[in-house]
Amino acid sequence: MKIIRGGIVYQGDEWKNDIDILLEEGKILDIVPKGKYNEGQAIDADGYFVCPGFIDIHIHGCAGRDVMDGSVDALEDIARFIAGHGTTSFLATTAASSREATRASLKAVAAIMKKQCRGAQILGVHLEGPFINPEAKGALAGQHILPASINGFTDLAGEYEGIIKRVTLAPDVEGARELTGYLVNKGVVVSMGHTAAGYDECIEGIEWGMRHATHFYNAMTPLKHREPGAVGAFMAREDTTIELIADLVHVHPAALKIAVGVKGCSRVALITDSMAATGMDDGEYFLGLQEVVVNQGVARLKDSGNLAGSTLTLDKALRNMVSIGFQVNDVVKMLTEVPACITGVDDHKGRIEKGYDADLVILDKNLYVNMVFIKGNWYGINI
Amino acid sequence: MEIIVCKTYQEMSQAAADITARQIDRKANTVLGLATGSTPVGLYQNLVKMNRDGIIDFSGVTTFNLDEYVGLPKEHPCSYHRFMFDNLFDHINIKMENIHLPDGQAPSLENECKAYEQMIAKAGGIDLQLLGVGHNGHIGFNEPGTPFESVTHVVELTQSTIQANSRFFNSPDEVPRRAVSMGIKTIMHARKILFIASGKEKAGIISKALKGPVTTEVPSSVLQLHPDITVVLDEDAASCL
Ligand SMILES: [Zn+2]
Repeated sequence: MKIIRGGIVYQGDEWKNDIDILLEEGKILDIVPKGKYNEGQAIDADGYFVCPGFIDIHIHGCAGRDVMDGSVDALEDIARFIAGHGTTSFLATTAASSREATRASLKAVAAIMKKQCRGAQILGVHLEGPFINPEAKGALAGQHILPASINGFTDLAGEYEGIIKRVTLAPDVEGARELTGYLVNKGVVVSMGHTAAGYDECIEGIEWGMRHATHFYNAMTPLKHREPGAVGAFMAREDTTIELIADLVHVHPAALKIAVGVKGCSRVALITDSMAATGMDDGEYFLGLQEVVVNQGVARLKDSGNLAGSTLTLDKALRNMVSIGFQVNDVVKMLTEVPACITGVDDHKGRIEKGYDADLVILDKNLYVNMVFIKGNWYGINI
Repeated sequence: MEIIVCKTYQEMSQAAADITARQIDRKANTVLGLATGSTPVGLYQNLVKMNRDGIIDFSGVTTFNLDEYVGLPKEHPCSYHRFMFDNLFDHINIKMENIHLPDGQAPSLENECKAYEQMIAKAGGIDLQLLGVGHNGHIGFNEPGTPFESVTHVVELTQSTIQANSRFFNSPDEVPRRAVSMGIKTIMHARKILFIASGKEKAGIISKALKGPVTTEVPSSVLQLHPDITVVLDEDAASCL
């Protein structure tokens, strides 16, 4: 048994002092007052914040690697890199690409999900595209965008359909309604994004089951007072969740505050939407097959200049949000409980509670990661 | 964690050499993490002998040392470069290009640290990391208080480490004040760790490191969290366990 001793523990929206967390067999065995048990391996967390592991439901790559590399090696590098930044589980996110390239990525994810490996755990795949509106493609490759259809989806997914947990879809592409119905039925999260649809069309999409918004504000119609757009639709509808890229580049700090103010932090997930250059030097990279130039940590497509994913990590997102005035506990919620709920893993992840997975991040007082436990093992090192 | 207690320093050195030899036997292109200091000297002597006797072949082996002083020329008798060549590399069939130590004289130490991490990654990560421990529990030059998240970085040496190392120099004033060291994360990401210690004066810190709470105040205590670590001690070092 491991004992995470005496930390400042995030529990039920607030911080509790002098708490011991007991870990056994990858689970949280119990949460007790400090010093109640002495048998076991003590890990001193005195003066440190102890949070549930962060969950990134939208990440393409980092450390020079991309999910679209389509290799187990690339996924392992990604998983290990983000674990060092507090992320203990994630949805490997594809970018619209050819059928073959997407298949290769799905195959690699399926392979890695079967074996034990170091680093953050992959919860499944988030397909970002190809069923989106070319007018709002952002950094996705235009030539691979497809109209939506059940056949188109099953053809793309093939035998790997079971690992696809989330699909980003535009309500204004042909066949979106049909495909949304199919996916919702299968328990897949359908999130609205890369869309040029106006308010009414978006509300319709929400009715079909698109209850989450992909990188809110980015690649969707903005809020105007007579045309509330996709942004207005998700702000108006309380029964929806949104996600934000908190790199302070994709979304203005004031817009971050407005979004969280309207939705409440229990309906906002923070994501990275990060690409291969994350954790690397400035230079030239790829997002899927698109050429990207990274300058001072900001990634833009070489040809159009569109923002092309971020170079953010979730621990940095936490510090960014705190730097603009958010409370640490509210931000932690947006990094843990909320993404766990959105992906439906909230019965065993995203909280520090008895019986939950022992996914923990220990942060120093400046909110830098000091230790990470994934299923009870330091860094998920368990081979 | 496997703890092997040997009667003497010589037996400890032989046991540690056997473990190293088995690793190289299993994987000819093993990546070894190496350490300096007085503890591994006996181990290195055994490796040299086993290489000479044809029991170990270093021709496929790659090595990365934990640390090096800042500002000391490689040829300086107290540099870790010199130590490693004198005690090991000059006497075994390792390829020159497979030997890596941090360059303490690099024009940009920051770039050197980054490059060192990248080289380790490029080599496929460390298969077996050899470690000794300092009196205050430091591993590499990671002194108490170093975040467990640290990667290869520049370290300001503490007074106690400077004192302890001054016996190799003419006076404490000659001991460099800074060093480049692999971080704790770098060390912990090795697939397997071989942790060795000998002597009565290490008994207290060994007990703290292996049985005490895991805390940044005792950097070596983090080793308790490694899934594949073998500890080889002589009886003196194990006397407080
Ligand atoms: Zn994305």
